[in-house]
Amino acid sequence: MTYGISMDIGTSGTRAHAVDLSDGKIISTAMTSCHPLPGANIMDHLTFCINVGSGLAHDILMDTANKVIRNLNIDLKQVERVSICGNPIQLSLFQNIPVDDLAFAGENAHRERNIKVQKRDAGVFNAAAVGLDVPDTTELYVPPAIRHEIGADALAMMYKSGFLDQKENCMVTDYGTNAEMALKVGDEIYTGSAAAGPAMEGQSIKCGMLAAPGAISDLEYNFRWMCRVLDDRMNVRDGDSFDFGLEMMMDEGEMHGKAKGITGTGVVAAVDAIMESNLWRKGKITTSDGKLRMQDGIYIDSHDVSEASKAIGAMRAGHFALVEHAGIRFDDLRIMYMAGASGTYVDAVKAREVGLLPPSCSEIYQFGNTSLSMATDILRNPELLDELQETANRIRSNHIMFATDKVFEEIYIQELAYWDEGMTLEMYNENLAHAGIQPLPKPKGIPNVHRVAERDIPDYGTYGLRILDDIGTDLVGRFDGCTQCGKCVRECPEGALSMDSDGTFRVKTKKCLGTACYRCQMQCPQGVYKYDALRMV
Amino acid sequence: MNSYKMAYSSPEDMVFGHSRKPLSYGYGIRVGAGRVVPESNYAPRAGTEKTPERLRKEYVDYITKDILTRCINLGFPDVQLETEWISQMGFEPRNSVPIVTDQKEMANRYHDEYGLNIAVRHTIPDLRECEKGLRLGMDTKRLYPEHLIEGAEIACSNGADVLSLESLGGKEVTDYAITQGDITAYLFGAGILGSADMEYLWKELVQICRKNHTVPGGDSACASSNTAMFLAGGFLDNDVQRTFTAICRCISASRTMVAFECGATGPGKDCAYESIIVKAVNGLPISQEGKTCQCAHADLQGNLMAQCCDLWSNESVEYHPEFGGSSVQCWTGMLGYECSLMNTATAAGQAKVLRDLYMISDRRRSPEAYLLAFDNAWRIGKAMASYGSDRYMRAKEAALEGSRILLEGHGNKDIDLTRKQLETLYKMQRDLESLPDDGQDFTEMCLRKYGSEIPTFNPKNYDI
Repeated sequence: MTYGISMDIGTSGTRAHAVDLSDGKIISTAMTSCHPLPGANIMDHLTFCINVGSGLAHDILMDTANKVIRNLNIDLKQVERVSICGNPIQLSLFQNIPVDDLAFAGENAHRERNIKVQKRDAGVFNAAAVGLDVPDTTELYVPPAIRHEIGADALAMMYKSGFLDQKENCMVTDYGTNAEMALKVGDEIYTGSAAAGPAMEGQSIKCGMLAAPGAISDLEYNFRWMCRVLDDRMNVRDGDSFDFGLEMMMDEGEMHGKAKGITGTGVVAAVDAIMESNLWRKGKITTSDGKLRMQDGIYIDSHDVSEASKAIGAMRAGHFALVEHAGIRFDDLRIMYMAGASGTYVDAVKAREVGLLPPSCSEIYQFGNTSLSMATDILRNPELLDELQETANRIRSNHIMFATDKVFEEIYIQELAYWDEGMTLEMYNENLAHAGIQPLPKPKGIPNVHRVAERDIPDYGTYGLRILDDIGTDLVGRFDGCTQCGKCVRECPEGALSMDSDGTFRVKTKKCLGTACYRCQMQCPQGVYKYDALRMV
Repeated sequence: MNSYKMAYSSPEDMVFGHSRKPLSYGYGIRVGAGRVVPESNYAPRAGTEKTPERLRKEYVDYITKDILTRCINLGFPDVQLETEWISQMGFEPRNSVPIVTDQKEMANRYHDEYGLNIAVRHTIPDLRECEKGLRLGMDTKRLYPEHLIEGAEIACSNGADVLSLESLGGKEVTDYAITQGDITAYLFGAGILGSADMEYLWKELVQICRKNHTVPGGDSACASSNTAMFLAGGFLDNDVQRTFTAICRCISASRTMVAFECGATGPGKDCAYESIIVKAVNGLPISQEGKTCQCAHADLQGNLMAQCCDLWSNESVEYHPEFGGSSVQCWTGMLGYECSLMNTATAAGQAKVLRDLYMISDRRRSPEAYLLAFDNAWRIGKAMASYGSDRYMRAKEAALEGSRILLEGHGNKDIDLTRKQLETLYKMQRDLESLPDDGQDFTEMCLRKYGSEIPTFNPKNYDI
């Protein structure tokens, strides 16, 4: 028997299928619960690469990739093909291609730094040569980017969702830590990518967790708000019901006592419940203790909402900026495709209410993980790679670099003021009018939601799913002048840093917040701790 | 037959501002959670309904703004607005969209700027005519049943915090019953027909509310029981015997409870005087009206009705100028101060004292007031609850229990009844006791008896 392995290299984790190449059937699935590199979003990963070198980042990522494929329950010696998909940064790290052209935006920045823009076309490479523990003859199939900033994951969401064939104006977004988005108006496609942050994955939220037994994944309205909790088989079951305005539990559900945290989709539902219950005023939750208390001690507080609003605001500003650049009105946009795990599981109506979808969308299609799905299609039919390259070449894309886009900036400023400072939507729109930007309408009516996929990964295969927690590696170092006072260890908010008795420091990369934090370095009383000097063991 | 468990094991546990199943909604409004909330109701001036824009201006720029500013000026923490749609809004529900949205927007702004807790109840009109048909598809010309549902959709999807209705099902029969002094006809009209219509409507209305996150407030027997009460009138009136209207009220409680059995959560309507009986059974919060609704009508239990309310209403006042401001400002002021008194009594641990004073001051003023006194209302509720969801038997038993309470009270000299009132009471008791114990048998009997007697009555309106 010969096998293929398809992989989605995501910002918040890696997912892989083993496929029987004789019949194309999925045999097994493995995934990680987080990314092995320090940091919680794409900017952290890029900064890590720039500061410590992309070679080290590649080594850490491949270490994890090999752990994933070893958990697929197949004989790796029989692997003939590997196909991958993901955003340009993750794929570049995987292939060990320089990422400085992605880290610095714009032609001027490239010219000033003498950066060569990498070609990211479709291609067939040697899988063992990039570091995978597979035979030397195994081919690695890499789908094309549309342009250097618009990756294969964006192509996957357009290709798999039906977006490219839609005649009417439509939008597609891959909801994740890094949200790829595209708007199609006639033959023109406008793309962008918002570093939405980890809130959509339930991270950076105090009681946040990835989807696992005990996670509150939704709040269902039935004149009360009922927690919906994942059971041991990951089925969603009824939890306790609350009247949040009264700050009272009204009824116990079958999952009473079993909640352990809240997922990203649960956070979206909680934000929606706060808004629906009019409990958000001047940037604060107005309950007596400033917390929205759910069952079993799980809550979200004003700071959590603020964190979630960064993702929501970035996505809304991104969608809004695309609509503005395309020169259409919101009323001209009716159709929305949602991809990615969060895009599959989130309640689309609630997501639209809070701002994760354009408010005018009345037809919403929820797909699964389109990256893994497209990578699996390539395994089954390698000739698809040529077809995808042709499609990529045909797409007339206009990429909006949000980091330098004035329209995005103007809108995102309003988002921050709206969420954190309690600015009204009326004022939000007045400010936009001054900048010549159309007003943001309120969502109207109840949209039609088409759940095309029930799960982000519909088929786990005969051997099912294995989730790996034991990923990442240790970065190790010693510093001259260190007094071993331990302040850096105590200051680490994630408990990622430890110190051996001989003064050797160890950072667990998967836990570390990376360059977004640097608290260890900043707190060193001697000023000798250098995060970037740590090395992989 | 499964009986209902009483929400209150003792009438003594019932008091204003508290309900077993409190609610929160709107911008910071909490009802039944310890504080009584004023509910201000109003009607536009005649002539302002001529154009939708003028009507919007009347409701929003004049009425709503006046009420909210008066609340802030007087330092009231909460107010609920009740927009009872005038018939013109029911004819063309779409024209009401700007009224609903702009009222909500103004509520949002005042809450945001001043911290005033605000909610808006929309009570949509029931324009259906029994001759033309009460159910969807029956009135093909004027589409009144369709307009009712459309009105609910429009109210809820545009920002209503609470949806209510004063439905008219069975009114053609209860009108006959009241004018003829026929308690059997009233039991049929309210207990059977009214209940069937309520079930038909409220199953649909609750769905609309759920979809739009609107609180389904409930219904009222205004069209039947209040008609009887006002025909009976005060001490100079006597068109209908007040013992008759008192027993009608008991029967109506069974009908009003149907909305809650269909999923409505309260707060019940102010004009549903029978709500105190329903609250004893299901513990849901209620709005009530009494002395502070003299702008709309006079009744004989002005203080008593405040005894266990969760919202306190003025029923309705036409918008016009008074010395102290506009009419809505003056009446909102009265509501707000009355609520302040109740809430202060609660804070001082004197709520039950005030409750008793409210109740005692009116208890003997009329047979209806006597039955609505919370201790007697609780007894009627308990009698009703013993028959659970059997709407016919619980309505009949409520009426019989009401009769027994009045006779006991008369015997104990707790309430004076005139000879005529007693005669009416004895006759009703005899009539009720002679009725079958099965709702189907009773319905067939009534169809034979009233089918041809009441020309506007059409069984198809009730699917019987």
